[in-house]
Amino acid sequence: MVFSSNIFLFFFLPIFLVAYFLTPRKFRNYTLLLFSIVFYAYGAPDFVFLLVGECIVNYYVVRAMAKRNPEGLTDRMGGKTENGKWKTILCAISIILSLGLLLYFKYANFMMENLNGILGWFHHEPVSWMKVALPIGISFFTFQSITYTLDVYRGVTPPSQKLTDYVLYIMMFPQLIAGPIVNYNSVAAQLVERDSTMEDRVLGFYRFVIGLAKKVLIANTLAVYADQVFAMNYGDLSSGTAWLAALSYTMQIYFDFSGYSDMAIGLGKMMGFRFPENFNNPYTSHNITEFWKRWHITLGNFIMNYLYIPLGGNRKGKGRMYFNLWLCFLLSGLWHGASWNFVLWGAYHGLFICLDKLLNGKRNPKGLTDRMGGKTENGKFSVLRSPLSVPFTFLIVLIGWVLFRVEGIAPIGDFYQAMFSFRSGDFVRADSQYWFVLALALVFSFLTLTKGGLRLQELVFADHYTPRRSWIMFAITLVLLILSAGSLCVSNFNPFIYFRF
Amino acid sequence: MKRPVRYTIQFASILVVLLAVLLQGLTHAVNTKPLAGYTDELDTVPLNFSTYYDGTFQDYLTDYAKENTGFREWAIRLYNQVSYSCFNKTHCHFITPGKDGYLFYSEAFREYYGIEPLHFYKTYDNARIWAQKNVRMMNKLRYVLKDYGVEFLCFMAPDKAEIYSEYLPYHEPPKGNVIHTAAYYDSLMTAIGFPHVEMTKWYLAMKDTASFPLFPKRDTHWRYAAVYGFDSLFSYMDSLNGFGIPDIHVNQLIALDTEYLENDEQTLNLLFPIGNDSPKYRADITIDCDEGCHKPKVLFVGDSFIWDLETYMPWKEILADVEIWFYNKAAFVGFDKERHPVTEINRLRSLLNADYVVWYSSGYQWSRASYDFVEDALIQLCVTDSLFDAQIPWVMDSLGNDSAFKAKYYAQHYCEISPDSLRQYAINLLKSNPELIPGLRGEAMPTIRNTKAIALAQQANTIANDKLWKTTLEMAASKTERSFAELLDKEAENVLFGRPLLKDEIQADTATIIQYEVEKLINLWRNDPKQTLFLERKAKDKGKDYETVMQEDARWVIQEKLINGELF
Repeated sequence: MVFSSNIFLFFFLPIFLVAYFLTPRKFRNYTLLLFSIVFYAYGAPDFVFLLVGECIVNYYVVRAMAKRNPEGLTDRMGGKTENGKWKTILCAISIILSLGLLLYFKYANFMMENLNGILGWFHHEPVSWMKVALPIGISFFTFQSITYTLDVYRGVTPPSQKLTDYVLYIMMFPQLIAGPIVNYNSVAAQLVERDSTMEDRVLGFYRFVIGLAKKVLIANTLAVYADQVFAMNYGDLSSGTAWLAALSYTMQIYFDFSGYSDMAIGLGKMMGFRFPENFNNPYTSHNITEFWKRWHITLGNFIMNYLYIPLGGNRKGKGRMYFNLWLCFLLSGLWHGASWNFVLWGAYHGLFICLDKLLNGKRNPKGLTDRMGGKTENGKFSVLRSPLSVPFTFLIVLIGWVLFRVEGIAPIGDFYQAMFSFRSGDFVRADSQYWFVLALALVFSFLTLTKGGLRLQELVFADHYTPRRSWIMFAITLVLLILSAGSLCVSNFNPFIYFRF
Repeated sequence: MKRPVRYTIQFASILVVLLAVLLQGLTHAVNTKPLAGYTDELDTVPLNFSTYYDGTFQDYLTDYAKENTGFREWAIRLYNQVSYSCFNKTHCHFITPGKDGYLFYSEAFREYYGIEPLHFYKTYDNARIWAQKNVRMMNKLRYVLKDYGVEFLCFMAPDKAEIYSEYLPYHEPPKGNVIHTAAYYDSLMTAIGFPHVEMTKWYLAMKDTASFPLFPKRDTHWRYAAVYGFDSLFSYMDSLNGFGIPDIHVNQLIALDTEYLENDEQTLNLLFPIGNDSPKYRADITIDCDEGCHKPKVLFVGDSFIWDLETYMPWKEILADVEIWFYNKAAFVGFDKERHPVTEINRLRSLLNADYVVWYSSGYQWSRASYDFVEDALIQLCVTDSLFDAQIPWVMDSLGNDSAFKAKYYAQHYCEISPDSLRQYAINLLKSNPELIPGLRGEAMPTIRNTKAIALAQQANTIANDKLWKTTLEMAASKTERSFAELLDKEAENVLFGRPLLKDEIQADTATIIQYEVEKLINLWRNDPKQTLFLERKAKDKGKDYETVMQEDARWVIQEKLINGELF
């Protein structure tokens, strides 16, 4: 079940909201857990037991691990105590359990296909295997499970005191399928005790509807063009069409993913949860490093805290830092999907991150102005750079999305050739609604580069509204909800005209 | 207003809206105008462990939710209106909005630019090869049917996109060696002298002088203007063999005051009508049937443009009998349009019973020609079952040795093809390519006939056209709970092989047949609410029993038919 579906919006959600708010406060977690299990089981009936089972095992493993805490991990000589060893072993068991499931379900097919490809080169018979189905949301709940284990291991947070609270943390339906990746310590207190005011519920719903509109009215409209072009033979594409399709996809993926995050954050807010922000106008970034601080922020934080720093971060020399950075992005690419396209996409971003550190990193520390307020060499360079840095960064990101979108490795070259040969050819025309929505998407993506845009963003996403503004927002929300519902219903209604006549 | 109260009102409103939609979706308590257009009915999937575990129940529930979202009709109409009014865009994939409120069928729009065949044949050259093969087979079918006194011809209805191209929306000039399918078929048929009527050129010629629009603004079909096309068709049919078809005089088209949404506009499902700028007409037609005039039996095979014959012309005054094979899928038999799947009727009988077989198509539909009609008809008329079966092994062999075919199969099914599947592929290949069969190959006219089946079909037609014989068999079928078609075939065999006839065994007298007809009519009336109401009133007025009145009326109708020679 996805949020932007009729069954969720007009059947599941109203029933859930009524049930949730009619439940006495202290039992609301059970209601939420029950609906979350129904939500997951609807789309993945064969995996719900696996997920619940993994949660239960992990909960007890981590509890056992946490019990080893009091006596410390090392003895006076710095060696590991018996407790410390067991703690590490239990932590490893928990991580292996989570990562093992991810590796098996998400990457087994990919690995076997590649193995058979290699065997084929050497004229060996392929290894036969049963294709493994992918449980939805596994990438997200695996990472959440790992943050829980590691945070408890590091002593950042105590373990959950109730199994149901832990299962709820993993399975809570607003963020189960597509994030944001929520650190356990950021919601641990809310799982036990939270308050949702009327204002939270209303503002949460507004956020949900804004996300819905981003997904349904913008992303889905742009997807039609992108899907059409990316399904074509790239050899016949004109450069204009290829660039337009890449731009469409760039906007589509942003409004799709950030829309989903908005919906998750909004639903969470309605129930009193404060989920972390996942996007912050990523296309206004001045460089790739900044882009990754604005795009899928919770994934970036996860990679930084649970991969980059454990790998040594920048503490082991510059060469190692560049390697760590590149490796982190390579793996983050692979996390997005089991395909070489995602690996390439990760490597591509890793490369630009390293280049960014190499070129821009030097300029930053000394600041842009000297003691007298005059511009330093660095500052002069930055000023020269700045007007072009946003479009330049956007261009790098846009070109990168082609790796993400094209299916298979072989056609990537053809698509880039279509983009960069600047040739004429078949231009795929788009209708006026598409152009309008694309213009809207571009405006919304870059609006915060202006002061007015920033102000507007603050007004819309404010924590409190003035009475007048709240009624305006209420009206806008209803209009967006009706239009989104109309768009969803229209996309599901494809009648034959001339069945009889 | 204090903040909490404001938010309470807003949250309550949100819940009310969501619950209202939910309740409407579950109960449909508020009557909403149904959406136009036909959609497949959803098959109910029961909830059990199996359907839940394999996801079919969830799929059903998801589809159910889509179709039963509360106030869905309003939401769709509103969104469609916004799209149409702001962007001149429709969400009905079949309709392309043009200029000045014109609507065009999307396929016709693509046919105008010559790019429609790409959708079916991938390349323009393939489309040409396919058209050449089709016309070659059509000519073979014509040759064979002619042997049995049946004229086979083509009627090419015009496309609105061709006639009113100035109202089409902008389209990039297409590249490549595009093919305007209808024009290409026209040239091929002209080259070999295949009888056909091409209406596009004629309609274009009269476009500027006609006092009425040749197509409604918001309908794909030609509607009232079709009467001129049918007039030409019947004249042309008569000129082929001097059959003596009644003369049709189209006196005038009379403008109507009535307002209604044209077909394509209905399907857009908008909130407001686009405009009232497309006048409607009815045709004033006179039919002359002098001495020597004969009403023909016609089998039409083709697309939806045929229905205007029924709507705008007095077809019972022109035709003796009619069958319409709609896209060669659904057969509508007789003027009452009794509906059957084409595959379930005796197609050979229908072909041989007709005086004319008319392949009927609008321009954009030529890319779909011939919906397997010509292929199937050729096999029915020319190929015996034993000859067909004899071809299967070598076709299986060639498919089995075709590495490209096997690779494609493997890619689709992840396994080697089984002998049974290979056999089915071979059968399908032969059915779609009858020219693989000896006697039908190449440019030469067919040298083979399905003689026995043809003789049986002709004999069955003779029996079915004899009203007394037919009624006798119908009566027997009704009494023995066997199908009429079965008895008809059996009786035809009896005649051909000199066996005792069923009609002689039954020896029904006139009184028995009349009683049977009366009962048949009463059964028909019982299922007709209007007739039931009429008879109830009549019984009340006359102070008689309802059953008695019905019996009396039915008997009177049958007696009248007997007197007029309509019964037998």
